[in-house]
Amino acid sequence: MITNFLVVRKAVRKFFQKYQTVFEILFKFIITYMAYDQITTSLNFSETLTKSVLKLGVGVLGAFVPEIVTILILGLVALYEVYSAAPILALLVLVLFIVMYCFAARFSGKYAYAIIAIPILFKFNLQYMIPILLGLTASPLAMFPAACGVCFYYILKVIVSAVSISELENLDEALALYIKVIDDIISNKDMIYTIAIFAAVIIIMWLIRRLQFSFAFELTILSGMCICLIGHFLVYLKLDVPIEGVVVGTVLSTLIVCFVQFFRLVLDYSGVQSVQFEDDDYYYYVKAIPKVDSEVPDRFVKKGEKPEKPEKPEKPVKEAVEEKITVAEEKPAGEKVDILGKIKDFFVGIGSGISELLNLAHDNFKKQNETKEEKVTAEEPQKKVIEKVKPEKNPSKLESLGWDDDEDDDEPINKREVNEKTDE
Amino acid sequence: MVNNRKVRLMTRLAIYEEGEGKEDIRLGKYFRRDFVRLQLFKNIIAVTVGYLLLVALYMAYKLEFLISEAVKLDYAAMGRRLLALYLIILVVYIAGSLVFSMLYYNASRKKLAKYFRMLRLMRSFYREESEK
Repeated sequence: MITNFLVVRKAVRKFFQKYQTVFEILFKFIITYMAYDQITTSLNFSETLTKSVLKLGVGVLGAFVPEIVTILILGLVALYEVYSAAPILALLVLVLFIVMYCFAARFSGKYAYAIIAIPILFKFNLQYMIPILLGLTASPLAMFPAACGVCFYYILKVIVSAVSISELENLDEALALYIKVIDDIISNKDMIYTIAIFAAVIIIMWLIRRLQFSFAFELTILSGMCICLIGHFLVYLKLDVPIEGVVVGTVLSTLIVCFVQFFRLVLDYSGVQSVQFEDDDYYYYVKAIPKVDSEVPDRFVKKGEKPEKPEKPEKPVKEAVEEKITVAEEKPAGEKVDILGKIKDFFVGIGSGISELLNLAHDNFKKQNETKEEKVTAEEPQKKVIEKVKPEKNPSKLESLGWDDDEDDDEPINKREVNEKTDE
Repeated sequence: MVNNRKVRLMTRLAIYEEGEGKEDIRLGKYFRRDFVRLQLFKNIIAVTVGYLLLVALYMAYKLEFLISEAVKLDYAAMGRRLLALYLIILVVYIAGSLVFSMLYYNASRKKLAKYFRMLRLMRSFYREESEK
């Protein structure tokens, strides 16, 4: 069953590698579209930005530009939305974006998509997937884009709640709104604890992943999940925030990450090889764990001898057929067809066939106890009979694939020995 | 006659140059000291700009208090506290950028060394062909 999963995995990976460019563009389009939709839906201050044409246009643009440009475009969209509600808040949001870039977002690198992925996943309660995935694949610097993503989400949330409550009529009210938003952002402990937990998950997972022991990746994912749950449990004790959603979200996120890891890398820990060798400069202690991908064949070919099928001698079969023909010929054409008789004959024929098969099996059993030479002389004419009756299809397919059992028997188990031999 | 080994080597070189080699070749133009200094300089500017904006935000937040207490405020103490905080943040970012830029440069150099070895092998192929 596991082999079937591995075959499917290999097929899916091949498919994605073949159309990698298309899938990358599609992925970028989807993430940009969803982020734009999330921003315009949650803020909803400007009607012009909610048009589907604009959504598609921004999505298409995001599919072809670098990640940092996509984030800049989405930042401008958020800024315009906030400007539609309160210009002073737009200035605040702009300054906060610049501060976030100066202190954190500059170090995102290729993980810049985490900044927009986290707010999108907050909607589905799967935001925990990003730190666990980054801890598995990225360096500790990935905590910066994760922190920026969390800040982005909470700042927009605070602005939505602040604007909905207050009305701006003069400068004093605008200033009061500004102070209220700053107060809400500073006092938002949920945001600070979330950033701390995500950073801890990424750093600890990175440390565990680098250790050299079996099942390191699996234990890394498990440790990420545990740290996330423990961290949020402590937050629950302190802030009395509901934890049921956190547990479900963390477990689902971990399952998704396990799924991603299965497609990314599968190792066969039963085939671990520890080798030592030296060159001019160093002495090496190497632990090699084979990847399962390389062991899965492209097509399934069953190795080993096929069980010999019971051979039907011609004579008894012909005799049975002749009997049937003679029975059919004996009946005159003009008489009525006896259905019951036909059915009876049919079952008699089956019974005689079964008894013949049993006799043949008994004969085969006897033959197996005879000497090899007798078997060869006895089998040769029977093999010829088999070839005439049922030509085997599979050997021709194997031959066309270049399969040779003799080669397979001589192949050494240790591939490194093969490489050494070829180098010699 | 097409030399298969040469074609394979050239393909690997081209793949590297088009992918991660772009950044590594760009870094290869710098000495390690110059690269680290450049990263430090960029970080110092970014931290300074970000800190000044944060201070501006804080002053706008406390504008009412500042206006009402403008005469009584101890500006020297305030200045010292702001400077101390700025220096602490700057030292943290300088240390971090020093470590990470050195590690990044070293990793890039290892990949470049492998790239140069492949280039030397290419050169030996060309020499063999010219001798023939």
